[in-house]
Amino acid sequence: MRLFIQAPIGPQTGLAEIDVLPEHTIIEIKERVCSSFAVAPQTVALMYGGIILDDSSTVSSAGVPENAQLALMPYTIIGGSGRHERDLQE
Amino acid sequence: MFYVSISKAAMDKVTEHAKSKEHEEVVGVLIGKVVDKTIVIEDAVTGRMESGPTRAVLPPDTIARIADDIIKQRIRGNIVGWYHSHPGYGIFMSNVDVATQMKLQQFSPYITALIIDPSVDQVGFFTLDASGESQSIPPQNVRIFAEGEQPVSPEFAVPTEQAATPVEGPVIVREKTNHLLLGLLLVVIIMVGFLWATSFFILPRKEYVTVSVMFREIPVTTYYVGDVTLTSTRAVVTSVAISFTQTRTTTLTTNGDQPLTVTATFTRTSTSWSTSSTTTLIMMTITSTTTSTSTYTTIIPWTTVTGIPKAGSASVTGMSQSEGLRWPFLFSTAAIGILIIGRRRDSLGRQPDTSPTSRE
Repeated sequence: MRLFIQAPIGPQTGLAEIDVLPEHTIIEIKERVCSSFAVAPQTVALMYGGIILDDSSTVSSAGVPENAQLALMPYTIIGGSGRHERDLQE
Repeated sequence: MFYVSISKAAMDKVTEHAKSKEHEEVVGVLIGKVVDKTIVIEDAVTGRMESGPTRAVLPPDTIARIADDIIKQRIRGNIVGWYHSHPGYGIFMSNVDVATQMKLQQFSPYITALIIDPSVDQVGFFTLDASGESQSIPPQNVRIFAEGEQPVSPEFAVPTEQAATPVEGPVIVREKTNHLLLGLLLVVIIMVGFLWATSFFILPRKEYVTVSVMFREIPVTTYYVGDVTLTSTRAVVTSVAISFTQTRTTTLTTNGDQPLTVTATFTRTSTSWSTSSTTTLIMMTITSTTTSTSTYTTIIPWTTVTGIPKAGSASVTGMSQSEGLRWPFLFSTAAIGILIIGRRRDSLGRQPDTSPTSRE
């Protein structure tokens, strides 16, 4: 089955099209997509329909249909105003 | 390095969000596009977040919702940056901020971090250079654009080869057009005349060139200054930028063949303005005020006359204010006259329509 991945960050939306099997895990897909986008897999997550896809689940168990539009986005966006010392303690 | 152009609406949204929590941080993403080398921020989006006094987290479920909104085009644009507040801590990139920025810059270098300190109303835009060091976007590279304004100002945009596309539309010929044009032309003439006249009032009111000629006393023959005539021309250049330049040439002539040197001096002040567009308002700036003193040296020949030798002085004055106003006044009057005649002819032409022929 075919999935479409989008990364709507920056001037152009990064687009990828991949063929997967329903028993493929999300982490496998993520690693494949991350290598084509040149991003670190541990910092990003795959999302579908406004929900985070769990890394350990499979395409079928996560309920991702054929030709689904998935998003590849940073897992979190964190802002901190603590100075260096405080950051190290946290 | 890039430029940042943020809409006033987005900036207000961020400020309002930051001010909604006085002692806690807030966080969100910046939505927009990239035009040439300018990040154009059109909107600020946030959602449920986990915030504390020195930390704010946009959790995965909020990011997933924003991503879905972008894919389904409920949000128009891409993520071009993110914002968060440093309530009372000042504007800088903390280690946490650098890590987040690095995460986003994996996707594109055109990502900016907006940091706001609502306690002192300070805002800063940042990015990371190739070595991962945080860099502040200088304020002159940041612009806030209001609704209806072009997001990228000409000085920001890198020149691109844009072919001008001529707009071809139907040519509508109307009988009234000529009439309208004539009227407009007259109005323009009146306005020009008025402006011209006004310029005389704005400028120093009385500008006379006073030439004092000293008499010489010679025992044998008495020389007397003949008819000294003075021609003075004044040109007033009024440009759209409201700057005035005035020049005046003075020539003194007389009959006779003996030369007399006359020095005429006049001082005038000229002030020029320039308009400049700033982030939110148009300002008028006085760019220079110059005072110039010019000295004219003219040779006046002496005329021999008979009479009692005496010493004395005579003075001549230049064009007066009212003389200067003569032409603009005439212009304006003529234009008004033409307008009135035109209107009268108009009403005469229309009379048959309104005449009560079918009263019975």
